[in-house]
Amino acid sequence: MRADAGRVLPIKRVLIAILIVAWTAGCAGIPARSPAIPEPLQVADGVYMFQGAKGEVDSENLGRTGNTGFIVGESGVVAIDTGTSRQHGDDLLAAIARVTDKPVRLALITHTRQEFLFGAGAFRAQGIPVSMHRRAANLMAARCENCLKTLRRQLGETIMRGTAMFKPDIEFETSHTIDLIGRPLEVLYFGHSSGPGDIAVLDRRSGVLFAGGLVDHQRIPDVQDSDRPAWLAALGALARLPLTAIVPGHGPAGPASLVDSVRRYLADLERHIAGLLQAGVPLSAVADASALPAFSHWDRYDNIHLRNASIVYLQLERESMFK
Amino acid sequence: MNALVKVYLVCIVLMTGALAQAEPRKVSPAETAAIETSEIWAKIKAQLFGQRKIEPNADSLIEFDVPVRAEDAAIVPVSLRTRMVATPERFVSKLYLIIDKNPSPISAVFSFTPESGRADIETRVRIEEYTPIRAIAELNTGELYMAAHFIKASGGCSAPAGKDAEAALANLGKMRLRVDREVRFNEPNLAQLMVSHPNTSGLSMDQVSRLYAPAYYVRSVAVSYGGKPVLSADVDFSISENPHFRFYFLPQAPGELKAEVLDTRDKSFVTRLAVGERSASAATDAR
Repeated sequence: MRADAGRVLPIKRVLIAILIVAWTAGCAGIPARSPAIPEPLQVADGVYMFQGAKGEVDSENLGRTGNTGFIVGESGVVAIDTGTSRQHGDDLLAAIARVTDKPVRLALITHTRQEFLFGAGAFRAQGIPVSMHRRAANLMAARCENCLKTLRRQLGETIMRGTAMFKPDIEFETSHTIDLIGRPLEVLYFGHSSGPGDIAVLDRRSGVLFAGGLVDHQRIPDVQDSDRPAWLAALGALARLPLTAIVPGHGPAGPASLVDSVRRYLADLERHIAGLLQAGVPLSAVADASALPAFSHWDRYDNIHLRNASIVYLQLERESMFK
Repeated sequence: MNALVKVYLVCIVLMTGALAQAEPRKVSPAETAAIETSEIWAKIKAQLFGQRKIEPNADSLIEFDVPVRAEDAAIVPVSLRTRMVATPERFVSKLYLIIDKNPSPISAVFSFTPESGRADIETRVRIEEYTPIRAIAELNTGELYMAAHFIKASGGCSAPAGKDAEAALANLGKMRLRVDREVRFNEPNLAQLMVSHPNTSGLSMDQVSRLYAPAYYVRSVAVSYGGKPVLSADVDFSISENPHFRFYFLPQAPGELKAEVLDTRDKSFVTRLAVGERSASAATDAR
């Protein structure tokens, strides 16, 4: 088909037409039809996010279910998270280039989940170093070959073409300041919290926080890799920061109070499951008994919440048995 | 029998087993076919039961509950309840749990006695890939009944971060018996047994070290009350890490509930729980 079209229309004209369509869609604020051309939302001056799709990974949303973003400083750009696939990473870089002609100097990965990781190849191909916490990198090495295999099966080779496992160019252990783009960025690490090696990124100038795995918005947080007491402590630390806005790992950006909704979910979940365990409810009945109506409108309630319920049940059970 | 009628009957059998669930289990024709025509099952059937006839799950004798789709394939709860009034003349003496596509499909064989009170068991299993899963009840009279489901579960991103296995090894062999409610004599009472054990299959590779954790798992469990067997189980690595069993026992007087576990390195672990006139309603630690 494409070859035919190329023969009928001069390629130059087709390209110009595509550019015009993309440009007008962007200017008019019309969401582009294809998720392959994401348009960033401006959160603050020089701070942008791309919002991921709701729901489970499928070929319609191309598996692009996580938020990503970037911060533009005087002398360059830092990208935060890299997307689901090589193509996703390429698309993000193209979208960043439409906003600014400053060079992308670094890509930071906030946590080890497939929708934040596998676009890294696109950044590395352009010589942009990819940085993540050592423990996040270790978890990726231990697990993500399987994630990638599963993702390939779910999405197909076309969507996942060129996507590969990688080793980050920079691994770090502690909180630090990034002074690369004429705009100081704080990398915040709270120990093993929502996951091992999960970080948040604070833009001091705007007060916007990219919260990665620590905060989701209108979406069930995933407790699978978490240390819940440490996660709650980290959320407490975030609540004390002078934030103007939070870009969560999933869901729309929101005010600093997003931290509280995650705290409320984690507390309610733990209280509810402890009650089930106390009442002698077996694991097989936990899914049916796990309802938390206050959160039923959150994205992924039907699956991540059920899994959370069973994970917390097993953890509390083990604690009660082998204290 | 006409093939269509056969498929229809299997569907009915499967649907009946699923009635207890909130959402009706939808069984696709492909899943029904997988259950019906499994070559692995044909071999196991011949090996375990020879030419003996296996009846479909008549009158819902077995209530077999597995999740339609398991969120964590490493810990899938499986519940087998038998819905038959047990008499000394006719009772369920064995329950077989078969997971066709697991590396070792015969996952557990549970034996019961009249002292069990109820031939019910709940445990947690690993599921390697989409597979038929079967429960076969054997009566002391020799009758056999089967209920089957198709379960969708596979590893993928749910692989654990690994710290749990280390914790399980550190606590190796710690056991706990629990009776939650006040014990009532002359009726079946629910008990739980949990064993801290990595229960490794020897088949899962550490992606970083490229090494396989050696196979090391619990192979038998024997529970008695007042010296009489209540439950015994031949199990293997299809059972999840930290093996867990919920079962019944029928106490007639105060006595001792005792569990003995043997693993593949011939290590034996024992725990006891005194069941008295006034057993505490709280969990009793019997470590």
